[in-house]
Amino acid sequence: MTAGRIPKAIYSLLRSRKLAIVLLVTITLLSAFGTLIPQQSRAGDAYVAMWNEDHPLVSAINQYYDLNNIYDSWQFLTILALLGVNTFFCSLPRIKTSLNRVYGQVRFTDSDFILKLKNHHSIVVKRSATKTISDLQKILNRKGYITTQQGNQIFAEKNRYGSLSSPIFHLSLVVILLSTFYGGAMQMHGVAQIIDGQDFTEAHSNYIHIKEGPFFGEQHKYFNIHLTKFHPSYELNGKWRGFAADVLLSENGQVIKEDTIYVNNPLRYKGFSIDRNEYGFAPLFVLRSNDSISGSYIIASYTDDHQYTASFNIADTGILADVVLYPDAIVGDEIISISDFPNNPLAYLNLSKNGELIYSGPLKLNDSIKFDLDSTEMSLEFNDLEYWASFYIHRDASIPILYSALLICLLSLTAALFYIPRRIWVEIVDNDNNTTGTTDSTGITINIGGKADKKILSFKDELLEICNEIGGT
Amino acid sequence: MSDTESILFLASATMYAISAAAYIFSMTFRKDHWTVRASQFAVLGAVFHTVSLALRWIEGGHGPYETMFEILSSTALVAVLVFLIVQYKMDKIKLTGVLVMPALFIMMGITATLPQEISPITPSLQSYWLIAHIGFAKLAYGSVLIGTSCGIFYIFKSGKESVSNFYERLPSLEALDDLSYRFIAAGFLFIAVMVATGAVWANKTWGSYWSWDPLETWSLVSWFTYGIYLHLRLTHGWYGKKAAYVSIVGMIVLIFTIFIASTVFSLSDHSAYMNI
Repeated sequence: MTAGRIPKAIYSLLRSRKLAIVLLVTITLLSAFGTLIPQQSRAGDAYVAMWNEDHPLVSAINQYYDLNNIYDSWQFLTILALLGVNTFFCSLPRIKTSLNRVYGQVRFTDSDFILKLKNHHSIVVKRSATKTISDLQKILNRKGYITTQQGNQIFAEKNRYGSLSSPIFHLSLVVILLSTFYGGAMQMHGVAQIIDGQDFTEAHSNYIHIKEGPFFGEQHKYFNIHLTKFHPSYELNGKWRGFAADVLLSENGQVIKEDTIYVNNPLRYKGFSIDRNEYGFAPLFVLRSNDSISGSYIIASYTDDHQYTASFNIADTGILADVVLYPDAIVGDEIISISDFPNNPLAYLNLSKNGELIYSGPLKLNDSIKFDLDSTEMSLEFNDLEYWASFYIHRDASIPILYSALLICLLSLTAALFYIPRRIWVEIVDNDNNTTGTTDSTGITINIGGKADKKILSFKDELLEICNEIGGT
Repeated sequence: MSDTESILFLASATMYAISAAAYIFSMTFRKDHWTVRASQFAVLGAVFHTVSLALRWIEGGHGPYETMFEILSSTALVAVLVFLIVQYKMDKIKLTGVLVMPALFIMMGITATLPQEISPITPSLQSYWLIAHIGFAKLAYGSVLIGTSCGIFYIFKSGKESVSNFYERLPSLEALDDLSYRFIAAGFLFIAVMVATGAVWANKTWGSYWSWDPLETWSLVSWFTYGIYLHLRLTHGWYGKKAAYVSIVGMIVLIFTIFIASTVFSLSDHSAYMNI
């Protein structure tokens, strides 16, 4: 192959409809395959590691081909990009054809063309050509066709703009793909954790987890979120709405917004969307000795054991505390919590030093325990209990483009499938070459034929109906 | 679940079973008027079914989309309604009831084995997007069920006209192929709307319009499968039998997506809302 032919061959491949099928099948299979193996982005590193341990044979293949990250892999993204390029190049010639069909000149054709069409009829009627043309136009108009006439030829068309729908649909898919790539490159999403009554400033280092696209460029806005109150919330009709967070959003000391964030009701500001995510409890433990006092709120998170637990080191004592927190405790043979409301908080503490258990037992709110450490008497108090809430904060500049493209995609798909262009050509042939339109013994022949892009059977029926209405043999 | 609701649910399943039997009887013994009776039984079943779900709605204070029982039951109802409306408008589609009604009866049977308690609604489901998202999923299922039935009939009928007159009562091969295409094209659109509304809703609720959740991935796989069907048909001339086989593959994928994927993939965000 000569050098000049290579670009042509590439272009020819990229606009191939066969390539489109191959890419679609590949993406479909890869997408389905990705659901069978846990993905790091969804399941988390720990789960994936555990799964791979349980499946040692598959694990080697997974790690070699990075199958636990299939949707973020360069191979998958390249195939997606290739599908976008292929769709674009396939659409280009169709746009030209469609524009020609919509805005080009009306094409009248003779019987030679009409009789070669797959759907055509020849009808002989004994009436004048002029009246036949007039009747035909009326019938066609009644069926929604726009007709134009030139001499003894008629061109009728219905749903003309429908021919633009398929290229628009395909181009909107390209825009959707582009916007997802753009969004992925420019977005950030992170998780902020705030204890009731405390603040969070939107800055990279303050997130407990953050992921930024390669072109996000640290465009943080440094606004402040104050969690005024985290509380259970209900609809006006009393229906449970889940927990809600009353927040104050401020920037440079000025309060910008005061709002309540709950499920399906995020707070939006400067392109950032702030959604309520998880919640838990933050007990305040205070350590007292004769000469010092220290304390802090501890984040207790909900675990797979269906308990709120936390593990922390008590100041610089070298004591490790494991806490199970019961916000609404009932103490019987075992301790259980009957709700997520802090009606009767109780913390079950296990204190250990150098692996040796030094205390194990329950601690009620506002109670304390005493213990000796290196001959110093100390007390640990359970002084307060607040909720903590985590917020999923994200910024995706592609959303307006994506939503617009989705809307156009759905509308154009509807048009492509149901607003089908139909074209009918007619030529009236006077069997005796009598162009004056007078009736004679042999009458006239109406050659009528047409095309529909889709729904060919119903077009066939419609053409037959038109012929029946004209009458004749 | 109240006794009245339970009785009406069983009555509707019974009516669907009788309707299925009547369709099969009509086709086997060439008794045309039995298709009318079969439709009447299906209508009666749909009425019982609607009242049963309405009672559940009133009792639970939310629509039938919280538990797998509710999802399957309401999907079956929408499929029956789509079938009844379509056959009212298109007489030649009537005999697809031979496949559609037994399929729906089996679906009702599976539904009956599921836990039937009414659960309180999950807060994230309290959204208008839910109606569009779930509504179009059900419409998609109803449409492709009819489309695939036409495809299956096409396979049965093709090449057998001279062997048995059993198939003569079906629409022509050309008509079956065309009808199959039209319903699957509608299904393709409905799946597209379901995926799009789901993406918008997910962005609002979970903060991300697409997270490769197993169920959303399988919805995309279903859409791609029907996209491949349409491409093969419209650009590569895969009509008739070939198209019918692809439509069957699509139906299997869609059934897996709507009814099985959420139970198989425990890591799906959807599983948490379906109270399986």
